[in-house]
Amino acid sequence: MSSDLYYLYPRLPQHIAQQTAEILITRTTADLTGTWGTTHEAATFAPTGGNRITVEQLKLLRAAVFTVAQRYGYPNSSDKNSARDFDIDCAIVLHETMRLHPSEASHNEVWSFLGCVLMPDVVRWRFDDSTDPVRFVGRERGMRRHTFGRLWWRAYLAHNPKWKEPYVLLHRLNEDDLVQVTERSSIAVRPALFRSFCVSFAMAATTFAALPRRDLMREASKRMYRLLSLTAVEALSEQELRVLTDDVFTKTAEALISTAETHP
Amino acid sequence: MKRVQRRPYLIPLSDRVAVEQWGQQIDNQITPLGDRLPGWDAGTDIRIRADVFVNVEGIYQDCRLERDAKLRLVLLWESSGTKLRGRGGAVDFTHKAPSGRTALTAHIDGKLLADTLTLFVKLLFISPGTTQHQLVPKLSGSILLETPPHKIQLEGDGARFPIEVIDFTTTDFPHQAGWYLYWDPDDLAQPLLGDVRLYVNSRHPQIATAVSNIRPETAGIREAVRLDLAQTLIRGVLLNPSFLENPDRYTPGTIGAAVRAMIRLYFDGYQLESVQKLTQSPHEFSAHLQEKMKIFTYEQ
Repeated sequence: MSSDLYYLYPRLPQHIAQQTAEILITRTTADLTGTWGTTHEAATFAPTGGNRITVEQLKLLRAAVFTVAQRYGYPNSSDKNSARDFDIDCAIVLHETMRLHPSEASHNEVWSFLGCVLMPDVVRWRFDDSTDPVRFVGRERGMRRHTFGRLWWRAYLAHNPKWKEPYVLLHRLNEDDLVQVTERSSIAVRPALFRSFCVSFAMAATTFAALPRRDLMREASKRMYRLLSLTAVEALSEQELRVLTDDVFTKTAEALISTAETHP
Repeated sequence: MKRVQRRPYLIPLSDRVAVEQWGQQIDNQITPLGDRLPGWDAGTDIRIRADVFVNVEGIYQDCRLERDAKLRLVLLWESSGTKLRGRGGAVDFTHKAPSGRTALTAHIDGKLLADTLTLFVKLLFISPGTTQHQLVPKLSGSILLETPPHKIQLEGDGARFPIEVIDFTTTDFPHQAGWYLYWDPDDLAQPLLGDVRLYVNSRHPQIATAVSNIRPETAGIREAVRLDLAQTLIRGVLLNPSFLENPDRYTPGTIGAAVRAMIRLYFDGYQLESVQKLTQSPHEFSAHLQEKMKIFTYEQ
């Protein structure tokens, strides 16, 4: 794929992002309305690997995300359900419109720019009770806790263009499920495993509906983590992988049922 | 992740699989793969070839496997910057396969990589066939053996020059020009990676290819661009009174600091005024830079 299909984003240096975020967390959504920008004097770009995104394209990205936020109540406080729906729709919008590749997305400064400069008002609205700067500042490739970074990575990992609904996993897993599986970095670094594991989980959660969903995901993640020290799952075919992840959830469910029967 | 000290199944001796050479495939040629790829960027895919020696007989003996047990030899990769992992080519085999050399290849999408790329060859258990031995792996994909990792630094230590390939007919640059250096010689305190850009005309496929896909046969074009950039930047800053007054005022990462370092490297022992005077004799200035930058002395 040629590099001109991908954008390079402005990168906000971490120390400036941290200082900016410390201020932003003291403001309300109303305070921040209209205080966004498309440039920052300290921002830099990667020298190569794509074309720089233009100011107009940044405005379009912001408008797309802002539309989603308004759909779910911006600027009014969001409840848990609308926050979840915002996350799903926003993840898809980011993944489909940013034209971002993992190499560029791995730079925290990209996410810091989006959180601190381009869309700070949306961040504040989405996490209006948070005093954690990490919602604005990229850490660990933006994957953990950053308002937009975590959503882009989830969509990137969950997306399968061969499926009738390429983003179906985002709808089938809730926030707790996704946090579990993305924070187990050994699963999230293998996109094919991530998808297979999530599909197997969605099936198991239905088959073993009586089991607490959270326990099923947490215990299966641990079991998978142990297996990864012995197996090279990235070398398996899609079919082989699915057999493995189905087996992980079946054994986890059986263990949970057995424990429940032993200690009712 | 914790490294496994002992595996709960039989494994072969470590010399049963050995990578004899790591190579990089450029077009149809294989060149030895070192520990750095300085010309790499995310737009550049990497084609790897590993020449691997496999002692099939020894593996089956060591692991007490029946002849119909299925194994897999696979080339795997991981990148420290993106944390992503993936696979290249694989060969499935049973005891029927002859011992000897085999080649594994991988075409790795550059957009999945950052910082470093680490390559491995692993021997995996896939299925037991009729094997009954108790100390046989239970899981498909179990690692029987892995070769020492081959780690590659993907980007050089020096700052990369910002390059963007665009269609000049959509700009007000001369439409037939090959490249255009976009910068402001009057504002040298701006970040190098923020303000300076080398635009390359996508309508000049030879030039666009030369700068975006590093190959030996296009080195001449890159050298010509490199010389032109150096001349343009040095001439430009030497027309800036603030730079002439105090070139040390510019902090690291700025355009002023980068060109200052360039002048000190290529004009070691010269006063700024002498360099400025030299620029007034373009032929001598160019020849001096060609010599100091070792322009066109690359290996074909």
